[in-house]
This record gives sequence, structure tokens and C-alpha cells, in this order.
Amino acid sequence: MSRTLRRRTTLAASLALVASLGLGACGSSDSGSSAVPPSGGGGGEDSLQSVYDAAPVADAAALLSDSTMAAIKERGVLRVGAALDAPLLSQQDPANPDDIQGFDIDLAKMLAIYIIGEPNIEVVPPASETREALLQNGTVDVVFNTYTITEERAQQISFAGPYFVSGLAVAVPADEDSISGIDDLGGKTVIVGANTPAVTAVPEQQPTAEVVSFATDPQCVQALTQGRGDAYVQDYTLLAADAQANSGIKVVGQPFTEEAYGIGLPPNDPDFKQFVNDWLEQIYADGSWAEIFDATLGTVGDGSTPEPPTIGSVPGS
Amino acid sequence: MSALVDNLPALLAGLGTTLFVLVTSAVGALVLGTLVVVARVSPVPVLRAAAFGYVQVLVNVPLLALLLLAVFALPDAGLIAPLVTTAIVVLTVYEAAYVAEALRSGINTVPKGQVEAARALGFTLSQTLRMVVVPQAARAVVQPLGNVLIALLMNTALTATVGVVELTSATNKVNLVQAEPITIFGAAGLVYMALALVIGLGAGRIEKKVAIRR
Amino acid sequence: MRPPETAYLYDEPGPRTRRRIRIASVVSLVVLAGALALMLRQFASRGQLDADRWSPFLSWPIWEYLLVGLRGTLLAAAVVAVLGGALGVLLALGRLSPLRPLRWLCTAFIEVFRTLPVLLLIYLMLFGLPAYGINLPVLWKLVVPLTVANSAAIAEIVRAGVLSLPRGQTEAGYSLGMRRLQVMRAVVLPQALRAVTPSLVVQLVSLLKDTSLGYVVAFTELLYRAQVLSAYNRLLVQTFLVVTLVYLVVNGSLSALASRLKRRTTKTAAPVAAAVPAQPGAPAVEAPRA
Repeated sequence: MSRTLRRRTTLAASLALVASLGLGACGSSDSGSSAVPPSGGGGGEDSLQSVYDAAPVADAAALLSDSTMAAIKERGVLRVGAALDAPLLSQQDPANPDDIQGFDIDLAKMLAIYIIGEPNIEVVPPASETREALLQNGTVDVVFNTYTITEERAQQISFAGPYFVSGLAVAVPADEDSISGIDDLGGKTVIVGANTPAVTAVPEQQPTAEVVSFATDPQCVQALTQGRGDAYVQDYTLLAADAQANSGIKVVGQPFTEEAYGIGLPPNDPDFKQFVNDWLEQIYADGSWAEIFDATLGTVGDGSTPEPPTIGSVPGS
Repeated sequence: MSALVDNLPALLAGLGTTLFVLVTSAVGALVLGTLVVVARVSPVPVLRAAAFGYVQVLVNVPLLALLLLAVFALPDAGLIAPLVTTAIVVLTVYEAAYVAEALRSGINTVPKGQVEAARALGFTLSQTLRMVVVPQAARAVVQPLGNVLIALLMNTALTATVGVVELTSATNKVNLVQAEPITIFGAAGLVYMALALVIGLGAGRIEKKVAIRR
Repeated sequence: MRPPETAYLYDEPGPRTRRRIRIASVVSLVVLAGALALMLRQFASRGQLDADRWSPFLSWPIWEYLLVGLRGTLLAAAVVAVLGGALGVLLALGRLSPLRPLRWLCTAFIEVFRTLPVLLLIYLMLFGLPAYGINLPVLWKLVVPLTVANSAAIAEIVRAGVLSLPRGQTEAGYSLGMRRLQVMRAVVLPQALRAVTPSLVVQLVSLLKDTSLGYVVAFTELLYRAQVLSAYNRLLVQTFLVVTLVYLVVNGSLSALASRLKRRTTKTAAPVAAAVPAQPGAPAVEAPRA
């Protein structure tokens, strides 16, 4: 199978993000023994209240009768497949479990407002291998989970978006200086997340690298800091957020692939897909997408905000 | 079907790891479990208490929690070993508790009167064990030990969750690419069942061999 | 400490043996204490014993977070126990039935699901069921595979209990003019179930441990919450040790219950078996684990 997908149309957005994240990611170097790291969202909740207040709400006419969105409004809560342990993307505060913050989850709240009028979401954390199943059997309505759009997945479920473009990058322990990117990984032991695009992308780029996979992103980070591998290949955004939360690792080099994140939707529901894409267009246009980016992923960058990707620009979307 | 044939090397490699982990931790668990049960029936109170505590802790904590603790947490305390080694050690330590319980229940099947008779004849403890208890307990112990080994086989699958690429993990990886869950997981299931069958039949055979003719 | 249950293995120790036992006790105590001290020193050398790494676990919100997980664990275990127990009894009866097709079917079910890893079963259900349009709430995606696996184990325990009953019981039932099912229901099962209650509680401990697989199906249980918590506070050693302790307390009380029940059953059963001191010949009804 071929997984080298080059998508020129969205490259600009990707590079803008890289530029904005690149510097902030490998900064802070305190002892690493701090017991409780700062919360991932960076206090985004308060600053986003105004965004929620001004968030677009769908016309009653858009909620077609007997449609998925009408059923969600009827239920009064949007069920979202999202992580609980991804800093800056979707992280739960265990001391206050209702408080989940990050780019993915804030967008999910915006979608809930669009459908229901209130940011009512119910988060179902998927193991990454079960996202398709969660959508297929209707456990969740949508998935916001750094869910890369691929044609293989698109055969099982549908994607709205892309709503964000990033790429696979390399992280190494903070004191490692001999690895500066994917090109240095030949013959090395490389950690990847189970069932992420890196599982196939790393052997494609570096056939001599030995790949070890762990189930979750925190486990991968842990394995890297403990020396179970020389490098960790994962999506750039996740790595940048990890590196910000954990001074023991740093991101090196540029993304070497391009991953377009989509909003996972149940299969064979074109009305719902169109509806979510319409919503994305609106939050792109009114600037609320950018505001959410600034409050979350943007906090590890230099303050510049990328352009949102073009909807439907990726095979499978 | 071609999904299986095309990925045979990966699946066989996974099966190899499963067998390696199974055999090494089975041997380890049998040895460690025997030591534990010896401590458990010894006349030394401290050893008895230690063996009791050991079994209680390991029988009551999920293997998954122990695997996560050993693979991801203990390295923070400077205790780190290669993945497969860690997995084997955890499985050994965990299953040893069950081996010890199986052996102890075997000892309990030997009628007290027999031991008392041996003592009345002036047998020492080691003579009693060697000549009276163990030969009789052995038969009662084979089937339970077989069950422990089958449970161990099933538990090797859990090491997939901490990054060991054994059969379940390899199966899952192949399925990620091929997306034919029923065929692929079904085949893996058959392999597990076949292995369990081999263990069960082996145990039955041994049981017949060590059977006591009364 | 009370005398060990295997005290009959050796003679009442004389003065020399008592001295040897004392020496052995001291030596093993020193060795064990030494090992513990070494481990603590290893932990301390990495700062794992520092107060600020443990103090978060004195705060209520952290415990609340974990206890919600424990509630999920207990809920799942309770549902599996009830369903698996009922199914297990039916399977055991089926396997003992004189009807050949039924016996075959139940035997096949038991043997298949006794030897499949639960994780594989969970994967299979997770990916297999949606293809047939079956849509289960999250709890059930964990509970169904666990029920299937545990019912097979429970069936074997119940069957062992039934087989351990003296044949005279059944024969007495028949001679009173009862039919097979009546004998089963009124004579055999009540006694068999009471005989295997300790093993059933042991199985309960085992299935409670199995619920830790809930994270695979995104079910909020104790171990899943521990993982999220440790990803957040990065106190891995502490979080997992605390959670291990919670499992130990919950399951330890269940296990203690099991051994109390065991002692009670053997005590009440004693008069019946008075003629034959101890019952060695009975088949081992130790629970096969899932």
C-alpha cells in the first residue's frame, strides 16, 4: 500500500505552523522533576468564553428532519471521541474532570454550540485503534482526535475537513545532539504510537530503523525519556505540545510528511458531512478557528497563526 | 485469506515471540512457584508469612497494572530492562503465585494420615515429602498446573499493551493494514486454541504417566 | 502467628529444631528486610520517595478521580458476575446433559472461550460486531467479552462442584420419584453451588482484574483513570503503586471472604464427612483463571 500522500494545496498552512511552533517547542529546561506540570490549555478557557458567546449557531432549517444533527440536538449533547491525555489538544484536568481543554476539544465545543446552542459535549476517549469502531457503531457522533485523513480510513468512515494540517516529526531526549531529523534514524530504534501513520511512514523512509510501538502518546514519551528508543516519531503538533509539557524531550528537524486532520464522522451520512463542513467554513471565515488556535496550540509558537486548510483538499475528505 | 498469507512472516515472528515469552516465563514461574510453596509449608514463620504475602499481592492485582508499573513506572526509579525481558519477569513473578497455589492444593490432597504414618515411622520432613507427599501430590497437581500454563499463554497477549510485538500485537498490526478483522483475529484465535490444546493434551499425558495405581 | 495448615507435615519441634527455626527466621528476616531497604534506597536515590511526589495523593480531587474509575470497575465486575454466573450455570448443566447435541454445543463453547485471550476476544467483538450493525453502549463492549470468557470458567467450576457430589444424592432424588431437572434444581445444584462458593469468589476476583482491559474499549475504569492521571501529573511510580494498592484492598477483601467461606463450608460439611477425615479424593475445584 502507498501512504506517501503529497498535498501541495495545504503545504503552506503546514509550513506556517512549523515556523510558528518550531522555536517554542524546545525551550524550557528546568529540572524535569516538577511534580505537577502546568495545565495544558494555558488558561484558554476564560479567553475563549467570548469566542463561545459569539459562536455561530446553525439555522433551524439546516437541521434536516430525521438527520444526525437533529438527533444530536434532540439529545442535547454532542458525543465526541477525543483524547483525555493530549496536552494542548485535549487534556483533562484530573482535579477537575469536567475541565477538558485544547484545540481539538474546543473545536468540538464550538460544533456543539453550532448544533445545540450550548457547548454540551460528552467525551468518549478512544484507544487509537478503536476510533473507526466507535463511529461505525454510533458510540460517538464525531471524532476530534488528531485523526489523519487517509483513503483507507475513508472507506470505513467519513471525514469532514481537513481542519488542520501538520506532519510527522522526530523527537529525541533533550540531551541528544546527534539526531537532527528523520535522515539520522537509519539503524536506530524508533518509537511510534500504535496504529498511527508513523507505523508505516518510518519504515518507508528508514528501512533499517527498528520500530517499537506503544499504545498511547504519554507511554511513547515515557519510553523515549527512559531510553527505550533513540527517537520518537509522531505528529508535529503532538510532539510540540509534549515537549512543552516535558522538558526531557525536544523536537528536531522539520516534519517529513504531511498529515491532514479530519473530523471523523459516521460512514454514509453525506448530509451530516456537508453540515459539519459548512460549520468549518463559518468558523474559518469569522476568525474563531484562529482564536482557538491562538489560545491552545498557538501558545507554544511565536504568535503567528496559520491559514486554515481548504476543505475537501485531501484524498479521503 | 491472502491477508494471512501475505503477512505470514510478521505473524510468525509474533508467534515466535509469544512462544519465547511463554516458555521462558513458564520455566521461571515453575521454579519460583516451587520456591514460594516450599517457603509456604516450611516451619519458619517468617518465610511462611512472606510466601503468603507474595501470593496474596500477586493474586489480587491485575497483571495489566503490574505490566504498566514495571514497563513505564519503575524506570523512573532507575529500574529498567529491555521490554521483552521486563515482560517475562512480570509474567514469571505473576504466574509463580498461581503455580504456588496449584502446588499447595496438590499437597493438601495428600491425606494427613499418610503423613502422620510416615512420621510415626520416623521419616524426616524431607523424606516424608520426597517419598510420601510429592509422589501422590504430583498427580493431583498436573491438571491445575496445565491450567496455570494455559492462563499464562492467554496472559502473554497482555504484553501487547506495553509494546511487546507478540501474536496479538502482530495480528492487530496486520489488521491495521489489511482491515479484515474476522479472518485475521479468527486465525490468531485458532492458533491460541491449538496451543492451549497442546498444553492440555500434554498435561493429560503426564497425568496418566504419574498416575498412582491404588 | 497461628500454626500453619501444613503443620502436620512435621513433628512438634524439639529444642534443637526450635533453635534452628529461630536462626532461620532471623536470617530470612534480615534478607527480606535487606531487600526492602535496597529497593527503598533505589527509589529514594531517584527522588521517588520525596514528599512532594506523594502529597498529591492526599488531596480529595485526585481520589475522587480515581474512585469514579473504581466505580466503573465495580460496576463492570458486578454485571459480568451476574450475567457470567447465570450463563455459566446453564453451560455447566448443558455440558452435563444427557442430550448429546446440547452437551456438544456447551462443551465446544466452554472449551473455545476458556482458551482465547480476553484481549483478542475484545478486539474481535470491537471490530466484528459493528459489521453486523450491532451497536452496544461502551459498558457492554467490555462486559460482553468478559461475560463470555468468564461464563466458560464459571461453568467449569460449577461442573466440578456437581461432579464432586456423592452419586447417592442423585440416586436418592430419583428414588423419591423426582425427575432429572427436579433432582438438579432441588438436590444437586444447591449443594454443588455451596461447595464451590469459595472458587466462585476467587473467580470474581479474577474477573474484577479483567475489567482493567476496559481502557481498550474506552470504558472509564480504575486502570484507565490511572493512566490518564499519570500522563497528567507524570508521577508514574506513585500513581501506579497507589492504584495497585487500591486493587489489592478491594480484591484482598474479596479473597479474604473466599477463604472465610471456604473454612465455613469445610466446617459445616465436617459432620457429613466425619467418617472419612479430610476429603482428599475430591477433584480440585480451584478456579481456572481467565
